[in-house]
Amino acid sequence: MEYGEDIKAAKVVIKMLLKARKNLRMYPANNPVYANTLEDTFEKFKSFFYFQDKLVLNIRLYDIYYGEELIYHNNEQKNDNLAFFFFKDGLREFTFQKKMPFEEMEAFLKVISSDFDNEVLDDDTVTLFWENDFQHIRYIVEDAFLADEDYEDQAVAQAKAEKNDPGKFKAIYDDSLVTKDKIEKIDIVTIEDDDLKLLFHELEEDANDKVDKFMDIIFEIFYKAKSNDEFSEIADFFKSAVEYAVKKGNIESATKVLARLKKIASNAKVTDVVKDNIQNIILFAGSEHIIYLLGESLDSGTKTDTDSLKELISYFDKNSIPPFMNLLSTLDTIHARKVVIDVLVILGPKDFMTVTKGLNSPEWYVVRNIIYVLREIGDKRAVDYLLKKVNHPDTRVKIEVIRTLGELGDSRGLLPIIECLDDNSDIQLKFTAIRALGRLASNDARKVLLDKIFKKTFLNKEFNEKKEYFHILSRWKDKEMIACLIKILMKKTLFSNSKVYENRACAAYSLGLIGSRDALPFLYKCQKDNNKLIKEFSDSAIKRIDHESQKQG
Amino acid sequence: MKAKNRADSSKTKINLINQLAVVLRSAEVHHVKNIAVGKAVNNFVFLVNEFMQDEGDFILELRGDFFFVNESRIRYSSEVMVNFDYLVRLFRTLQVGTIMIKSGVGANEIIGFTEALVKAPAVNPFEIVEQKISHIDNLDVYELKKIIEEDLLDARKMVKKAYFKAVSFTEGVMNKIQQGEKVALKKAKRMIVSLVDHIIDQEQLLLGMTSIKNYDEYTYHHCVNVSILSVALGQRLGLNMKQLTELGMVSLFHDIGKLEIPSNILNKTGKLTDEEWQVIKKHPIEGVRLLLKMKHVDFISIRSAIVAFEHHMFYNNSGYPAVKKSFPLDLYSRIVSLADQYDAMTSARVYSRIPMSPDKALNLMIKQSGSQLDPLLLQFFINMVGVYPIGTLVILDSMELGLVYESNPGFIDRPRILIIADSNGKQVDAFPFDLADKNNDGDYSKTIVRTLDISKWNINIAEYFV
Repeated sequence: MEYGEDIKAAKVVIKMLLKARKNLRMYPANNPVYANTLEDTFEKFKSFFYFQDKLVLNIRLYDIYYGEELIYHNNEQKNDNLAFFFFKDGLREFTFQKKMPFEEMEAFLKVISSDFDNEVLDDDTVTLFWENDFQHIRYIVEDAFLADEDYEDQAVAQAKAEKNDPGKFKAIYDDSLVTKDKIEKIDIVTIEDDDLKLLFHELEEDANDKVDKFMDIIFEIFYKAKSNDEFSEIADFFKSAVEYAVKKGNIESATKVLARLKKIASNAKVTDVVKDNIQNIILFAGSEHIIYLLGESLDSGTKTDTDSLKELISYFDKNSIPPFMNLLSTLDTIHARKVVIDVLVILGPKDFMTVTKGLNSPEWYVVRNIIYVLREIGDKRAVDYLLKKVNHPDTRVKIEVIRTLGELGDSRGLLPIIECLDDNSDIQLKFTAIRALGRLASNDARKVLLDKIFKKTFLNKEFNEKKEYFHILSRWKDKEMIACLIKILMKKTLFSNSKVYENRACAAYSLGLIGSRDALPFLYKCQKDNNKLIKEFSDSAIKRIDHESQKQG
Repeated sequence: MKAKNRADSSKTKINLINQLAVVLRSAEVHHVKNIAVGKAVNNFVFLVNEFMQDEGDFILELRGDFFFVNESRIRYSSEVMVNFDYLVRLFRTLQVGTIMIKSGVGANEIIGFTEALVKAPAVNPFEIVEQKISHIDNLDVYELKKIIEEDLLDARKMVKKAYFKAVSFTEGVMNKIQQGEKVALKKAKRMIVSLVDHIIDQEQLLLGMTSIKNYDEYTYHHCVNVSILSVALGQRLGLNMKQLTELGMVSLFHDIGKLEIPSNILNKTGKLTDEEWQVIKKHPIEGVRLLLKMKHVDFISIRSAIVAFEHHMFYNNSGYPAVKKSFPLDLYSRIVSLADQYDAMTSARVYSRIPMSPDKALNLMIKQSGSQLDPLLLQFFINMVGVYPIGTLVILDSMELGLVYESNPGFIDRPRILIIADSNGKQVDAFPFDLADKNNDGDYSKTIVRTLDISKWNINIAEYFV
């Protein structure tokens, strides 16, 4: 080893630690930068351990030394200063051992990247290091700042003040020879395997959430309360407990509390003060703050019991709709957004007009989500608002509008749907419009579809688009429609025109879906057609009709 | 490939200790050639060779009351308790301090070693074991070293410092809470971490500190004592570092509700009236209120509130506060309840000036097992403090007078004592004696014949322990 190579490597480790603190704070754990930072830091340690078996760092207020060598200096009293950051918590020396595994280094980096300015965190670096129980990272801590140094001397002097009289021992000795203290002997207790099994069971049980137990206790205190002040204070405890439960994704516990409180409030003997306090708690549970926390919990991937969530929101009033709508623009995960959308579908009817306001969101995906919500609510009042969004610049929104107009089944939706049938900007939009006509299920819609397929230009459409038209027509199962489809199926052409064959094949497909046995003679005939497409589609249609007939017996 | 993580590594070490104990215990029952012993040996050989691939030679050392595997200390917890106690007894009896197993060790070598250990005679056991295994290449044993008194003295100083720091800090915190000032819980946690760290390293020394009861400030000492006793028990139960810190925090604040009790009632020297008792009985609820007002609700405050509420409720819910809907007590509440009762009974309090002697208190607690106290946890508690807890005054068969100062792992009824008076009842300069020590004939040198009521004689144990 050349002189100073280990010093250089130690400096590199320090630089990397600084970089790692920044990156771990900035990027989530699933980001490649985060993972790469961990790998890089481990590599830097490994490079150092190529020269030495352990890296000992001495921490001063503004400096970090490796042996006699100053390898880091920063004279600012800020947490960004690595020396100051460690020193202020009492850390005076670190020793990283060569055998330090990756996981231990990762845990170390996580600790030093924690947000210690956060008031909610009751830890400092030392307590977190300690809880991690590192086996290959040792540290020396100075904790004189914790208490009054003189206290020990005073307490010891006081405790020792009364001296034992030597004569006392002789008295004890003499007494013990003549009298026998009636102190029972304790049997030796051996701990058996069964005891250990019981203990392990206890420890497993103890790992469960404590929120329910905590709530039980607050209820017990609530039952004992007498004054208005006490009820008001306990209401605050309930609020905090609900807040904590939601933060932890424990919707079930939060819901159980509200259910119990609601039951208490429904008791005629309960005073108005109690009722008011309970109402206050329930309002808090549906407040913007709690809904924001719920969103965070959903976004974090914590498993959510949807039944509990449904029950929880059943306690919410219309004021909780806007905060849930706000979540649609802030949540990151599809899962979380899906849950919030489902919530809005349930809450929406409580204040339909507020939901429609979401259509004005600048974010296309929020508009789309709100349209979905309106569709699921199924209130035809939505049509007026949707018609204003038919020309939304984002096709994905447009598709959602057309689909919803179809599903709401209101005749006012017909015109914009028809317009989209010829919109060549997006094939999905066309398909949605065709299906929407089917959902409208009106005679007008039927007419539009039939007019389209009898137009000359229809022949030139893509096969899949044609097929979609015929698929939708199959929802009308009347004789007139069957006759019309048979007519298309049996259409003769003078010249072999593949486009006409496509129409005929689609008619066969539609007849198969309708399941009309009256169409079978025609389909048998077409089954023997020279055209492969017609043969195939007729054959499939026959099989389908036969199968359906057999099913119906 | 990444190195094995630390959890795996410490688990492997525990597995190895357990498996070694299985080998030796089965060889005590069966012949070493028996299939059961063979199976246990094969398992051990497999495990130890796998371990040595990553960690080098396997070195198991008994240092003081603890086992170390390759220099890392194995925590005494429920996972290893039974086998740990067995091995401590065996090592001490045979005067074996260290076993060193080298890479490539085979089943026959372990069988030879096992036979040497289980058949060792009572007289000069170590020399015979050493001689019998001298032909085994991959295995060495070294004699048990006595702990250097200077090291012990340093440890005592540090433990004493940590203890008084904790008391002083607790006093400061409680005063602040009483005056409605904001409390820095980061510091409280830091103090607890320091305390728990000492409990893990020097459990018996800290338990010794809790046995001194003649301080003025009962309240603060009681809080710290309950915290120490709870954490020590938690450690025995196998709680991890994070859980031990939590337990330390919640137990420290278990009696916080007493801050709301008027001092004329709390410090009343005479008998309390029924009305005054009703006020005292409110302290669990007051505790919950104070804790929830003190800080935001998080896991620690929830557990603290639970323990503050439940610590007098008793195992069968027959205590106070009475509840409308009964529920099983939380594990931490049951732990703290034990620690609280033991410390309270053995302390001089305002309303009970004469403390109970530790063994008498333990006896009473046994009677409350299953009703007031959790029977399972009580078993572990007795295992921790020993049949003769620290501070018990004893008479030996040598007619000397002794004071128990440490329990002895593996020898629950043979604690370490300070001999304070000779066989004529003459006070002597206290000197330590391990009742597990044997004489040249292989018999125990001294044995407790009776315990005496220390409170009756008003012996100030601070003179010996501080």
